[in-house]
Amino acid sequence: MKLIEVNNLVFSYDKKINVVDGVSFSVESGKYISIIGHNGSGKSTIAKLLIGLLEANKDSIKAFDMELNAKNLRAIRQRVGIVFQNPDNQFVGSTVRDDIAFGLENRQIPHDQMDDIINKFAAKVNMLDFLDKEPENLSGGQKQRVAIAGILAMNPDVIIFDEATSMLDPKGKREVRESIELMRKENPNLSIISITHDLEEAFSSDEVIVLQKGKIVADDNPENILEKPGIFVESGVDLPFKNKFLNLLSQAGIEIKNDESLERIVEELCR
Amino acid sequence: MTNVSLGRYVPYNSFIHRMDARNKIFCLIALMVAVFISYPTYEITFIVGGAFAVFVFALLMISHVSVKDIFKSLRVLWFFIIVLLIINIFIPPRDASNVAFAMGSVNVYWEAIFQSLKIILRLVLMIELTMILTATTKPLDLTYGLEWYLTPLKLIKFPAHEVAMTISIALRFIPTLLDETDRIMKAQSSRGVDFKHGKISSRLKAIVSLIIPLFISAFQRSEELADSMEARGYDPKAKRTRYHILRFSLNDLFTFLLVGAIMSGTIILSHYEFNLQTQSFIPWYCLILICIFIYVIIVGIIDATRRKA
Ligand SMILES: Nc1ncnc2c1ncn2[C@@H]1O[C@H](COP(=O)(O)OP(=O)(O)OP(=O)(O)O)[C@@H](O)[C@H]1O
Ligand SMILES: [Mg+2]
Repeated sequence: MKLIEVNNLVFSYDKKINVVDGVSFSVESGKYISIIGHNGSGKSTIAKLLIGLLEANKDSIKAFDMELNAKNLRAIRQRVGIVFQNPDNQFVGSTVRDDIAFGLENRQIPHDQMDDIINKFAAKVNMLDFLDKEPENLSGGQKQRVAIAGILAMNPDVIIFDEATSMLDPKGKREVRESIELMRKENPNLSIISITHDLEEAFSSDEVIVLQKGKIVADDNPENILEKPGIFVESGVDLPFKNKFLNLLSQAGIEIKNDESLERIVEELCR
Repeated sequence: MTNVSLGRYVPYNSFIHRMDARNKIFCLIALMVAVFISYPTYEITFIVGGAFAVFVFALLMISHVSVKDIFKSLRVLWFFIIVLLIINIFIPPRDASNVAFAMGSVNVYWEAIFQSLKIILRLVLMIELTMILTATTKPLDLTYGLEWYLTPLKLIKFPAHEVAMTISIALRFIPTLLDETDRIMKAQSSRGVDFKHGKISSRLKAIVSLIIPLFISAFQRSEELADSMEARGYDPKAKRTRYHILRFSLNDLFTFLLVGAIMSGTIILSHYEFNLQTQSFIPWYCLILICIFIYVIIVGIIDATRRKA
């Protein structure tokens, strides 16, 4: 089932250069889509257009069988959540508890149900022990997990991650990724759009969209995308080390299948 | 940058902590009025002032404010105290007639000393009372309390909710921005900018090199925060439910009445120009005050022991 359909989306900040230039794709229920592309290729702009923070051209975005316009904006936002890059700048409440409650207050959830919901979703991202902590006493990864809990508590059908792990250290990245995996397992119908510079993460998704100067240059499953290394050179995206390594090896005449683990590759090489 | 102790919330569960923020704001204002009332003679002023000092100190202890923090909060006063003493000594009050001692050719009057002491006492009490409020009330509850007082102004289109939301976000971001200041200062110092030494003009330049990046980042933050709030469905005009609900308990009713009594008592006391020698009203009033203080202290102690058990 198609949850979001984007059709010939065009956007310009200054009415001169199209930052997003005729983008079309669709988001199906339960799919994990990655969007990759160099800095300034328009990824964040697309995310903001999808959630109505920027105004898209007419009839270009359809979500849940509704046109994305001022009238439907509220209804659509109830079903799409977004986690941004900077953990500090999306922490609204003065404690973890308050921050998760913020979205619930906007959704007019009755007061006596809030505590249960807060506890439930804080537990899902492993933050139950930190409910009364202030943001300055939390790590970046913890803050991002709170942001995820705040979005999950609103029970969305689609969650957009705009480089949600890029400001975190490896530990924080891992924690956030584990939370994402867990929530996909618990709710197989949840769709995810993940904007990322981390190609390893992108290649673990169902579909990869490669963006270059506001245009889609590739939209396919990861295996097919990897077949065409030229795309990466053109769009200025750096391949993961493993893939680069394997490409070089195959140029040197050593063929190793890409889905082997690092240990297997080493074994293969030593033979 | 974390040594901002004045006005810091001290997490604890005393009965003052549990009081309704709206009631605490009322009590603060009422007690400040009581502290600032003038009495006809210095004797009454210092008896009542002393009683208040004991009362406020007891409240501070109940609130679990550390003695260190109390002294820290008073540190800002030193300069003021010295200036006040100098002014009062060189320009004595008009009714000054009793010379305490002479400093060279200048007569130092008792009235001048008393006058200074009176003002210092009031200032100290005012600061400590405010400290009790901020130490026992979460910033968010405080803003909700303020919002409640501002609600009637909605009739004249005053944006009470927006103001409260703005204040709570400002409070939320103070530590973040302090951290940021620290970081920028370190970054600029490593580039050779000197914040502590040098001519005024070069220090001014150093401060500009701090403020500009700070502002740019603050604007960036506010934009991202606004995006995030909007994406989470925030609309200041729309109806919202509340996670924090302020509750006016029986305890609040008691304290409300007591503090109201203290305030009106002091007003009566000052208005009727009672004289310590002739009026039998004073002892009664003092007795009532003492009873109230004892009541509050006992409640606090019972409360503290119950917590421990
Ligand atoms: N608020 C704005 N006003 C004007 N131009 C903007 C604004 N935000 C982004 N741009 C421009 O639009 C283009 C696309 O920006 P966008 O943030 O969508 O890129 P991105 O793909 O998310 O990049 P990054 O990987 O750095 O996050 C850039 O050239 C940027 O300079
Ligand atoms: Mg971006």
